Amino acid sequence: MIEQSVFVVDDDEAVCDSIKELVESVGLHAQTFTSAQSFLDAYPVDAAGCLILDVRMFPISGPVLQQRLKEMGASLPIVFITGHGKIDIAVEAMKAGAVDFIRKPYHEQALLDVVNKALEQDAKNRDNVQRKKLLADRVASLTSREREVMELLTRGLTNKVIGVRLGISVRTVEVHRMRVLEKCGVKSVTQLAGLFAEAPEDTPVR
Amino acid sequence: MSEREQLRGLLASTCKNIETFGNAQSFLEKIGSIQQACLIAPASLPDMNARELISRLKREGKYIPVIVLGEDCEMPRVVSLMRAGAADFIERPISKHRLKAAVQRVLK
Repeated sequence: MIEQSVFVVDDDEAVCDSIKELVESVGLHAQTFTSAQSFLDAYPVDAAGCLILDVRMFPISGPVLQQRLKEMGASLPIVFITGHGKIDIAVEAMKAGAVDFIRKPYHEQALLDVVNKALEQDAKNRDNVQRKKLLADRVASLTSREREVMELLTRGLTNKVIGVRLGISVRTVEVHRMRVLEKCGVKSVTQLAGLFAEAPEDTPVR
Repeated sequence: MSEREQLRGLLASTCKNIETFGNAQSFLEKIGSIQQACLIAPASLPDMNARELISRLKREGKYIPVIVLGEDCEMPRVVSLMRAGAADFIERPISKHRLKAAVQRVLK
């Protein structure tokens, strides 16, 4: 398991420090930044973890950083914290995919709960991406004929029917079938079909 | 003029088909026949609140985006509505521009 970090971006250093202390008290790793730019400079796009983000900052505000990260393809779940409770800003941030939007002064346990939720979401996102990639790699390693055979297999067709469809002998279908199962790392067609059924869809946009 | 009539007027130029319902139940009874659509609902309806309606739609596998209308709302409540799956939240008094943009976004 990759180590997750809790990134904190808030222009108030005291807030950064107290959140760092709070998340470290439960054994999590924290990194703090007092501006969006310093975070962007240091942040690797594929970093694992979540981001606790202040709303009102200059020159790059929290919501603008959220937008930038999205454009960069970063999937880091974001929890906003703010001292100013403007409804429309909160609604926009949530629409853009924030995990939560919390008002300062925050309740410590409530913040920890949200952080844990965000970290879980991050782990799930990563897992999905990895599974998709693994599956894509496996399918990419098949020859085009093997891929045809695989598609027909997962549709539940028998070797005989596949042979007729593709104009090849049953024996040849059997050879392809064996290779497909081998390359995809499964023992049966049922498992092969399961591999595709499990392939998680992209989360629908709200 | 009721808010329903007012919304109808505001959206007349944006949407071809606008249907209005006086409560959640009458909407839920009709929903089987509704295709690509969005729902605009106040935070509290006579028979259930928007949050319950959203959960109910989700539970029944109906993926209709819900735009919630409200006023004097506390932020935690609004955020919790968004977390529950509301597509958008618009504060009253409703701005025509904001409403049109919200409808266009969710129907896209």
